[in-house]
Amino acid sequence: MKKNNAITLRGRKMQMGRVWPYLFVLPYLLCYFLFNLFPMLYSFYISFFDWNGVSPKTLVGMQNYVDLLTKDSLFWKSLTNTLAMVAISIPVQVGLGLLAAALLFPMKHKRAMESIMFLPYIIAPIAIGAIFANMFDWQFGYINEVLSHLQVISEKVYWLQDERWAFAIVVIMQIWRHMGYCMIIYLAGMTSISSEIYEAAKIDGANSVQLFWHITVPQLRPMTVFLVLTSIINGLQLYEMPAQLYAGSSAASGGPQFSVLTVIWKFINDAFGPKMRLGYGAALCYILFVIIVAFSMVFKKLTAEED
Amino acid sequence: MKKSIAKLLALVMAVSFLLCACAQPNADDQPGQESPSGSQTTLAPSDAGNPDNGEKVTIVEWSQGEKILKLKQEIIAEKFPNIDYQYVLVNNNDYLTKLQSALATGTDVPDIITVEITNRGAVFDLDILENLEAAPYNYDRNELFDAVIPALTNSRGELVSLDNQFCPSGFAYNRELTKKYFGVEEPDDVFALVKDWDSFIATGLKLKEVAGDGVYMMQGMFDLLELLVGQSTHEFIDGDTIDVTGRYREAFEMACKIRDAGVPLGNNEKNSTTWNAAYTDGSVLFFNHASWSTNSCIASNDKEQTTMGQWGFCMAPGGGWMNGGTSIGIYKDSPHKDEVWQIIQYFQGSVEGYEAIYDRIGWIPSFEAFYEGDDAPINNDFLYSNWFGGQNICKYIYDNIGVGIAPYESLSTYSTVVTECFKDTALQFLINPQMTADEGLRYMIQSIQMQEPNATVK
Repeated sequence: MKKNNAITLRGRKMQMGRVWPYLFVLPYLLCYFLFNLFPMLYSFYISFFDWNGVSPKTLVGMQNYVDLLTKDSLFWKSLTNTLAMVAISIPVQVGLGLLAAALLFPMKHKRAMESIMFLPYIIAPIAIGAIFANMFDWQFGYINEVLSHLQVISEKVYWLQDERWAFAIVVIMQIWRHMGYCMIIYLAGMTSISSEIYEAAKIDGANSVQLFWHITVPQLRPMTVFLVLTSIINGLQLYEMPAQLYAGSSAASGGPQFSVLTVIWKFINDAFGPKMRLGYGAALCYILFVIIVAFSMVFKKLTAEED
Repeated sequence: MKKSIAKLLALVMAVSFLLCACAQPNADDQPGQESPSGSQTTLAPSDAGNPDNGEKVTIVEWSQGEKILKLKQEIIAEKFPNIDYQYVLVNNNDYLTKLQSALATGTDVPDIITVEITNRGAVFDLDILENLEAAPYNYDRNELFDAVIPALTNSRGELVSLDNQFCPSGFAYNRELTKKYFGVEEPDDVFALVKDWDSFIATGLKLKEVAGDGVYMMQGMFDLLELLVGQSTHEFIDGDTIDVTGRYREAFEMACKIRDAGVPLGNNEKNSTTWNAAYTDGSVLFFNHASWSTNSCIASNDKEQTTMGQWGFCMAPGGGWMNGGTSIGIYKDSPHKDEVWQIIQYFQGSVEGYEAIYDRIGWIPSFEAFYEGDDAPINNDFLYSNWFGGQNICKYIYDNIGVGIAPYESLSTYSTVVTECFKDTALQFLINPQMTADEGLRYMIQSIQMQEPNATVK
């Protein structure tokens, strides 16, 4: 009898032992379901409805997706803008980050420079937008002041109201913000490259440029892949910085002729603007989601094939 | 045993953590999100308090302009002891987004919804406001001026909102400048300088001659366009067809004519720092001005009161126009609609209630009773009369501009987008001195069409 009780107790303990891990992860899982998974699934659900958040939902099936892809030229404009910003800014920010890392790596006292260059990355994007809006303000911005003082321009330039300049400023903001981050990642990567490889190459007569191109750059390839991939994902979600450039301005949302309207900005306008089309906004987000996944997969595949 | 206790404790902690993470904060503990009013910080439209038990009910309004809200709070505290009136300052640019978020989540929707003129089409479309002509309110729209009714009714023709202020507009001018450059300062004499647009152009050219660079007729192309567009109101949205050309061509052409004639206009974007500074720096002669502008534009930009007594007011060339304005309505699901209606009736419908607003803020109302009789409050001076050297501009506005003014255009689901695109186009005129009326129309049509692909924009 005692023996049977002992076996049952041990069995229970073993069962409980299996249950405990699940109990401990349960809070996280519940929070994840409530605050991540459920909103994602729910937004997918409402993407099939015409709904302003107040009136009853009207089922429209795929109409939101069809309208976005076939009728909404502003969606294509925002997508083109976003892709162009990503295509221009990523090579520059990654390239400059690599260059800065290569120049700083051999230095003994590089902490201060590292901190200075990394600083923009930890500044809130909204603050960066506000800083650039002030810098390029046509009346008070010191860019105009400096250029006028240097007699480069005779009349003040409306930087933020010119389509091309506005676009360029957004790209500059992106590069300025992310370059330091790329540099830090590359610096971390450089510490893991074995000095023996460099020494062997030096014995074979390689100069500094050859060392950089034939050893440093290939050895940092995993970092480059990581940086490019995360930059694409982040770049496609660009919103705060360009939006803040025009905060409080009479200019239409999206800059002059929507030249800096990004996909997420368009989403905010559709879902939370005067029309309040939550279903339409949700459909837009899911299209962006598909685009991001497609880009990530293609990029991963390309880089994997090269490996 | 120890292990069991440890496990039990761990479980309790884990569950507590989960409950803490998921718990909704008690409404009574919720701190104010934006500039809470008064001493209380409960900002949700409270269902606390039961008037039947003699308890206070909390009424929440979202709006901008703290001075008027504070005044209302003081008056309500005295006049309606059963109501605890609270306000939340919400910037007009954020109002729609914040309101929609509140509506979608079903929390924190204010009992009193304030709607700025540019947002009215969108807010009325949401169908969240009570019909004030239906029971139990039974408001009679005949109490209002006909001109304001289109901007207070939704697409079904229901009156869902009442004006905070009546907004006929003219020119405020700096007497010292008109005296300096033209030798006149009295309203009739100054109006003679700008009695029509040809006179305005001639006066502008003379100003350029006598004052040289740096002194302007108006703050900029933006203000000129706003005036011209305001004067030429007519219905231009029919269902899904938006006739931009028919609505804006005349105004754009006149603005270009004035600009190309060489009339000195400032290059200030509306509400920019320089635009605000122009009220005190002596660089501009004429300012678009409604009754609300004295408090919001002149007094707020001249804290030192350096221009007090130097202002005058006259008609603008081409007549009056409706300039801006806010209105308020009752949220359909407010638990205290009766109390909200008491407040609205008092301030928006009674002479006694509006008198304090007139006296302290300088606004004038849209209901006729306020202006009737020899002892009508409009005949009295108000707080800002001394800014205009004793000229009662509110009475001037009512007598000379308000009576017979052209009505607002009806609101449409497209109204907000059209207004936003007009502002953007006006900005393009401001920064591009070569832009023609046709180019402006094309720009505006393209902007609207891109945002409203289902509409026919011409």
